[in-house]
Amino acid sequence: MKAANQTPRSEPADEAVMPEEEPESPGEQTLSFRAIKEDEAPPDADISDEPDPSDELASADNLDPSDELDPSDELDSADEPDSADDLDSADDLDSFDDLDSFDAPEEEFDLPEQVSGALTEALSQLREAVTGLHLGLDVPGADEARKSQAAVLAQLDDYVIPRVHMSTAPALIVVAGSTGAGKSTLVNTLAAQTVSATGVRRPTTGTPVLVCNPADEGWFKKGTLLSGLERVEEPGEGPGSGSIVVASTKWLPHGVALLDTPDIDSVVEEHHDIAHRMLDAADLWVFVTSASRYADAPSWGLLKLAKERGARLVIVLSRVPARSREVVSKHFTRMLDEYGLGEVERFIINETTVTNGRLPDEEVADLRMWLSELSVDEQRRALAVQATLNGVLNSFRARVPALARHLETQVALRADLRSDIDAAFSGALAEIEESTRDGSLLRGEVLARWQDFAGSGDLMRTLQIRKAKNHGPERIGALRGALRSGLESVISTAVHRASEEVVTRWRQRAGAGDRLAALPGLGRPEDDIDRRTARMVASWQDHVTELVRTEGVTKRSVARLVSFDVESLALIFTVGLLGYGTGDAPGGNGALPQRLLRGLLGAESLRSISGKARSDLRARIGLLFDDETLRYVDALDGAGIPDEAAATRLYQATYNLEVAR
Amino acid sequence: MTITAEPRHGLGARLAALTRVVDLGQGREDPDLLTEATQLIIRAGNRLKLSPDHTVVALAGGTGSGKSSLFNAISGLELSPTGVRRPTTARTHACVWGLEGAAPLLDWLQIQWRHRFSRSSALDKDDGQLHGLILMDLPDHDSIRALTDTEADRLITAADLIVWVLDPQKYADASTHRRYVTELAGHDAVTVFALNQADKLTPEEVEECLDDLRALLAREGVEHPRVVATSAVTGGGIVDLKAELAESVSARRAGYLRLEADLDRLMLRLAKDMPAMLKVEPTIDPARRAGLTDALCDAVGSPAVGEALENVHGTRSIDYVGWPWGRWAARFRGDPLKHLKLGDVKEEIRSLVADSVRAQPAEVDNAVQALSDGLTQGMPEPWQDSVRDAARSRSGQLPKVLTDELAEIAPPLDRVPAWWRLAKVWQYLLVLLFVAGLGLTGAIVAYGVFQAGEPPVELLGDVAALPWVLLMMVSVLGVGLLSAIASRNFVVMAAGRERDRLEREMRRRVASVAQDLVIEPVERELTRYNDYFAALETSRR
Repeated sequence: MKAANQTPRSEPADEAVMPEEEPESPGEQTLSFRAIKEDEAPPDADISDEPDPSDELASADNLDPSDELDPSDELDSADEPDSADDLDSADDLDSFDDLDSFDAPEEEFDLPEQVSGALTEALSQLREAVTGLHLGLDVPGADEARKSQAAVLAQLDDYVIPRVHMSTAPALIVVAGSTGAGKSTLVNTLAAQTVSATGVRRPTTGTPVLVCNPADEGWFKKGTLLSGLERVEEPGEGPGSGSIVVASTKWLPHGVALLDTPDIDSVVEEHHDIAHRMLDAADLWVFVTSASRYADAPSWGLLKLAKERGARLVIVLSRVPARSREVVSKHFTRMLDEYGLGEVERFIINETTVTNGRLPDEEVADLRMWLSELSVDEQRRALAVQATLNGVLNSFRARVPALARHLETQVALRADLRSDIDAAFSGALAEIEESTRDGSLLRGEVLARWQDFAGSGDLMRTLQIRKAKNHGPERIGALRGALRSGLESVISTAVHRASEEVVTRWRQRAGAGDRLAALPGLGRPEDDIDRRTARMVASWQDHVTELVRTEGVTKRSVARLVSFDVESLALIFTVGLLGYGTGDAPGGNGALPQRLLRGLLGAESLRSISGKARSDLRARIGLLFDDETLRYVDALDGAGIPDEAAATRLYQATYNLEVAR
Repeated sequence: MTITAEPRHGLGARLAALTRVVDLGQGREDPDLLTEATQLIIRAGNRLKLSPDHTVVALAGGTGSGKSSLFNAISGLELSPTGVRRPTTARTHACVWGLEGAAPLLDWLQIQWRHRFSRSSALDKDDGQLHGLILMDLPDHDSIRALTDTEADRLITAADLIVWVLDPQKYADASTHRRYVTELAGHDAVTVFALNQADKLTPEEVEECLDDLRALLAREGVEHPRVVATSAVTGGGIVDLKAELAESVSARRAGYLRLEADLDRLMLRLAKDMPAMLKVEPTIDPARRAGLTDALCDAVGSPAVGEALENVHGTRSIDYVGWPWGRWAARFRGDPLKHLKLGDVKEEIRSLVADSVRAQPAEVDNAVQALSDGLTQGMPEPWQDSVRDAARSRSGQLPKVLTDELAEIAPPLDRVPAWWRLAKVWQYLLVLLFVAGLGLTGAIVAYGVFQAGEPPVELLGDVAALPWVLLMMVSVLGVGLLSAIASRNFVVMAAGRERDRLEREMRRRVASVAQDLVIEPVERELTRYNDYFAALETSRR
């Protein structure tokens, strides 16, 4: 019904044009049409001629069949003014005729180029590799990488995979540019009907609008291209990132579809993403900017992207005031030249009054011509489509390895963060080893208790147990307790320091590290660390006593004379083990406990017990530390583990794709 | 004057407080925010020093919105070149209404001499109300040129009043809104939005556009936007814009309002997560001090040292004040350790107890950690760390200082008091006496009972004296035993007293070391914490 509104409007245009073309013979008309195209298109001529792209085809087919086709077409155009409704349907029929005449050559043209199985395989492999990518850590650039991942994936699904499987028609022409540059107005004008809302509110368009020839409508609605988007009749409220409006008009030539996109630079940032997604699926880019905008940074960002992607690009400079047309166009051309885009096809649209969301038709004559040429000239269209597709595939060469490289940074960072944990805790372990060896533990209470124990004669008494039954158990208990609390505090200090160190080290790692370090509670050990340490130390002491009891086989010569209290001997042993008499510890004039023990147990046995006790202590501390490190590893894993093999898969997929092409 | 005096005073006090915030927050708060605060303080200082009679107004906006045209329209002169090429203006132009005193301000704004213009108010009767206006035409901030030029950025920050020149095409550009308008939300009083090029729209469209713009600004936090539709081409709305400017210029307050708004905005971020506890007790309470002292005493093992002193003294005193007969009897029992061929173990044990007190570093650490953990409950994390670091700042020295300090007072365990020696002499005297008695008895028995010969002395032959001599010998033994027991009691008592004295003295010294090396740095940090948040509160209001 939209077309019904349309026809009366084009009526005067038709009448205006017809007289000019009527005098010529039907057979020559195609030729004249061609001539018009190559020169400046006469104003308004295109609208009436647009539905007749078969003419062009006919002319390409050496004119013969055109004699038959032409009269009917002419009739169509001529009849249109009289009864709009009837002719609408006639027009539709005509379009379908066109479709038929189009389809055959298209298939022939495209089938030889049919996609090899290898390419399909390579693409699905690439898709899988990109999908499987998990970028969990927030290193600098992670957001960009995630965006790029989503973009590559969307482009594969929306565009590349469908595109390599089908013919070059219909081609999707995406109209993109700044807000207020007049994208919707341009699309409406080319479609000769209001398919996309226009207005003074910025940003205007939120939902992409696809408009095509009715013949192609079904194909686009089916949704091979942009398959992720829901097809709707009317744009919804707000930015519609998941939907696309599909409309049809017979005023658009066959085989090309225009897609009006949201802006790339307004305050509504979702629009930018939608616009970029649409561009990713484009066969051709129409970049629209205006006289007051052509120097905007976002616009040049888009041009840069087009250049990088090798996309086929057309630039429309709209809203150019007539008096400054010369200056502006020259300046813009120079800027494009400097940017290396001087070869790009350009169209200039004057600033005029917009009625009903449309420009006067003569303003877009050049563009319409270009469209219809694209529509009829398959080879050209195929080249354009192929060029863009190649550009996209080429861009994968850089984009996918860039993703892989980012993944590698993530993997490396994760390894770094992991090694930070290990470094901190192995440092702590070394610290404990050191202070349980060099006698620095034998200070404070431990020292005093030992002195008490030794100096008050209990030491001697325990060795003469046969005679001195009444040795002070409270003194032994006190020494044991002091040893335990000394060990506990050494371990718990080390754990505290290690926890702090992990966080400090993580803070120095840019991005993910400091974010992880900010997780609550990571800066200090778990609350029950003291309890667990106490239990650990107590059980180690029991173990040492047990060792002395079972392994400390007393030398036979001694056993006859001396029997001793295992408990006390284990304590003496511990004091000796902790480095009594070494380093700066007291009693440097010969390590009494060692000598005593060596005398009692024999050097061999003492060495074996010492080794066992020490490695047991190390193992127990190791277990305790494992529990602690687990929290950090969990925090790290919670952020997401990048799969190291994924990078290789990406490189492989890129390579395979290159080979398949 | 009262109207202007009050905010100026308030602003000064707040800025002074902010200076303290920057000072005190160093190393404890986000360095970027503090840098920003420093920049604001410097900018405010400069601006407040320079001509208070002038109001700096910046015309800012995207390329092609018509800043220069509007500039020319307001000044009524063709001062700034306009054009269709984008971007047009690369250097800032400024026009001054009322030149006197403006030069330093323009210098500060770094406006080049050749781009300065002046309008003497005498020439324009109708512009008298604009006297004191410095109007700047900024370069754009959104073209590809602006990517490498921060002039617009700098002047938008420095201006007293900002006029955003928007146009129907670009009024919703992210480059304007995201980077500036949203960032300057809360600056309503010093921001004007001019929708330029209104002549390109029909009046209805202008209204729709303005509504949409207002709604957009409201969403961005601009509560009371001042929006004017203007057209540099037709001159429409210029009068309204001039009136807006005149209002701000004549009030002479835009500069203060701008700085206040900047300060408010900064404070919103600085005081983003204020702790529940804005003020902590700046001195450490006695209970915590006692806790720390206890923990440090434990780290040097002071109770154990006392006990060891008592026990070791008791044991060692036996060698001096004990009953010699008992010791000799014990020696006969033999020592199994001799068979171990360890050398003189006893001597070694004796020597090992001669050592002094030592502090255990790990326990010292834990004690300090426990103190800071207890104190920093409820503080923001950076301050928890800073208090902990303050507590630890000298804890590296702590074990050594404690050791040195206590070594002075702890008497060596092998100390031998003089009276022990006296007691020993006494005991040996008694032994001698006993031996003498034994000799006497032998002599009496020999001479008196067995008539072995003529006794040299009469006494030696006197058998009747024998019971007395024996009685004396028993008494000597008894006296020796009794005095040994008494001495032993004295030793124990003295050791007990010594132990008490030692523990008190150690505690006193540990407390004083803790005061110097732990408590003082921590209290300094706590005071800093209080000062910081007090200053933050002041600069917020």
